[in-house]
Amino acid sequence: MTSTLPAPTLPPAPQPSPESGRDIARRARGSQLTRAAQWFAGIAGDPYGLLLRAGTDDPAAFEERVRALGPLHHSELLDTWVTADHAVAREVLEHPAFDGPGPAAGDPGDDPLPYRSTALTLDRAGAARLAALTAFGGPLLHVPDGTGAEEQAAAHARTLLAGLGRRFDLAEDFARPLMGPVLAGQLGLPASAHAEFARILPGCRHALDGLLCPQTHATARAAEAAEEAMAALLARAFDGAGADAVRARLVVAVSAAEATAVLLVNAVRALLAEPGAWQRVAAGPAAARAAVEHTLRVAPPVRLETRVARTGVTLAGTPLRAGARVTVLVAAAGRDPRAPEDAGPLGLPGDLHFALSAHLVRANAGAALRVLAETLPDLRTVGEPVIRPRSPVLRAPARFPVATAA
Amino acid sequence: MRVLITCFAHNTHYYNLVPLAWALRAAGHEVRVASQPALTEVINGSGLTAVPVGDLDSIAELMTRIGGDPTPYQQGLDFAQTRSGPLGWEHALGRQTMMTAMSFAPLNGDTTIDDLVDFARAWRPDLVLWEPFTYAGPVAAHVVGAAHARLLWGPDVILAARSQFLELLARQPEERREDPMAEWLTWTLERHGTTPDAAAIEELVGGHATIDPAPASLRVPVPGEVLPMRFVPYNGPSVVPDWLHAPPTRRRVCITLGVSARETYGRDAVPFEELLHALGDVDAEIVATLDASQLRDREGLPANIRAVDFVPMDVLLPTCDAIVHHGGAGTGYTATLHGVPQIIVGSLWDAPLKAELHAEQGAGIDLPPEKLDAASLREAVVRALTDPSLAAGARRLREETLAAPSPAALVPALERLAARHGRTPHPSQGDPT
Repeated sequence: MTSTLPAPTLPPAPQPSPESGRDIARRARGSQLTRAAQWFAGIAGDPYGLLLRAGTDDPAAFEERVRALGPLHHSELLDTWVTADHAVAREVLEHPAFDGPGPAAGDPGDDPLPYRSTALTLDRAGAARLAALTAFGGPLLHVPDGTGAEEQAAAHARTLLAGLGRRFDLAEDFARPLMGPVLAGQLGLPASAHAEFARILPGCRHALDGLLCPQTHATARAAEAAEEAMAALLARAFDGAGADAVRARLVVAVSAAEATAVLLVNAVRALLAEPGAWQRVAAGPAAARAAVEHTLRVAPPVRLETRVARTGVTLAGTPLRAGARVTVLVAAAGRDPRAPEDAGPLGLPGDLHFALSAHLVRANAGAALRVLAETLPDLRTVGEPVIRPRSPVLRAPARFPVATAA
Repeated sequence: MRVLITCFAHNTHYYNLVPLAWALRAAGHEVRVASQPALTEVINGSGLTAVPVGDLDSIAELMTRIGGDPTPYQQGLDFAQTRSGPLGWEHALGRQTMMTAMSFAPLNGDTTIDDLVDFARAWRPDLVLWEPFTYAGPVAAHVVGAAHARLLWGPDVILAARSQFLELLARQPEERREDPMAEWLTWTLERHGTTPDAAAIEELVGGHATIDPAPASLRVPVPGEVLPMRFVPYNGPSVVPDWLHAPPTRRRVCITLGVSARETYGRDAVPFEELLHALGDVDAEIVATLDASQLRDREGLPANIRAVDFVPMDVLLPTCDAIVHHGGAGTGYTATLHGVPQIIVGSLWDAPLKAELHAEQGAGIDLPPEKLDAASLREAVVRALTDPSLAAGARRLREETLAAPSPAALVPALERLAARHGRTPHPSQGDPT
């Protein structure tokens, strides 16, 4: 912890100018139309449409239908190229022709996702620049290294668990509430701003899903307000630190919090389903880290990643025009039987926003997982999680009830 | 009282409202018809007073987004299941999402709604009558506290789908609930300074009452007050062609695509010449209503085919023994009124359901588009002409139609409706009481 903390009293938040009713309606209508097109594609049997409509079905079956259509499938109705192929996925995530999760800056066309997160619009160059600021030991994070991050997360996890009863909700009572204090500390917010940061943060949980799936109008408005409030809080807390310092922290907060919560829940769910696995995680940090890596491969918190071809490019033998959208089915590519055995997990691709936050996601999820397993060795699930609607990217649990015997 | 009639700019949807509008006018009520400017001439052509509101920008916006052709999207909405229930929550939710985003919101663009609300605030209608897609009507009525009622043009698939959706919605865990229709109506009404609660939303969706011109046997059950009304055709500007003066010398079959489908979609799913040639040896005169684009070679047609461009159905159908059509609203109800057995090739919106209902009632034949070819069409036409039970079934539906109150006889019920639901009565000029 080397930075000087800013003064504890923050200047007041600026008031955003009110948007006219017509402008609200225009954006809302655009969102609904995109959602309707996703439904229609699903009804028409398009497997990508079925994935985006994110119903109650297990998405794996639809992902396999995409794989069966070849290494690169074009969803005509949604005008998007889709791949479940590990090698093609790697190429999309690494080839310089692909960049950004949406229309390029200055693109005059109507964005089919008019409520997309403004925090998650970094292109690769921007992500690389800001990632240097948020590395362990870098100028922004109050974290010397991965072990230090784990210790911080573990301490908060123990405090949080101590206040929970025998039955609690793993998502709503533990995973999400843990993120506020952990990230506030790691991002170096002044103590006076921690409570507000923790209050605003859960409102940003729809950003990753919103990159591919329009949220309901009320959710989209609330998410936009939350992100604006978060940006304003960070700007006040780090007044004078420069735009990059504020932006980088915003990207970390918005990309890391919900991804970590979902990763943690996915890991717990998988471990509890396998006899003896939960007890083995308590063995130490290495076991928890391995469980996190395994989860990133088999049940990644980010199941879909989308990129836009900024130039014409040939992918899997198919010429794509500039502006073409490509979606990587991260979960499906991760279990591609043709993937090299030593291939690392694709979860949390490091070319855009996760360049700034993946290391924190891994460390915090691993630490929280270890503390859970140590503290509650007899944890068990109480029913299936309720997956949030319109969550094709995260398949985020709205609820996941768990209990302990003691 | 003051009656505001609203219909999005589509002539055949509007035609369905004209006889009731005139019944109200003839009873001494003030009547205004609001639509986008594209319909002004048609409204004036029907002898009524037009109020142009808004524009068609939102429809243009939709067409740009979906690549210009709404047909496949409409085909994704299968209302044949409105009686047996949808396939489940996701199907029901998908249908609400698509209906709202691809039909209701674009047909009732923001400018249309806002202009209509402004007009209603100034004119203060007692009653708003609305075409079932034209939600600008109930929105404006809600803002000014007027009574409002829908006038159906087909089976009430919108409200039937809505009831099924609400039933399934209530069974979802709270986190998974969403309601795109309520969402749209809410952000729309909030623009006009009011936030509707759940009860208000359902009142907006279904109206204070539903005026239904369908014979009782062709209705789908829906909640809420239904006011049956005898269907009275209005075909727009109509001229009786010379050839229709004389009674037919042989049996007659009408085959038509319907003005609505022809003008909206601009193309046929089936090559007409091929179908007409298949009817060449049927012992009947076949009157085919076609336009130049549908039929390039009138000369080469079989001798029993009479190809005509437009003929008012209300004039033609009393001379017919059967009709083949695509399930269009005006055509179907005109055929029902005249007791003509119907062969329905239904592909869009509620047409497949209508085809099913007619077949079940023994008053028609359900010929799904995917089964339509020269042979199946010929077989259906021959059956319609030779099976007396179909003619008897069609006569039963005609009797049911005639048993309902005429538009003129419905007026007192509408006056009561306005008195019951109008929340801001005002001293209206021209009140017949």
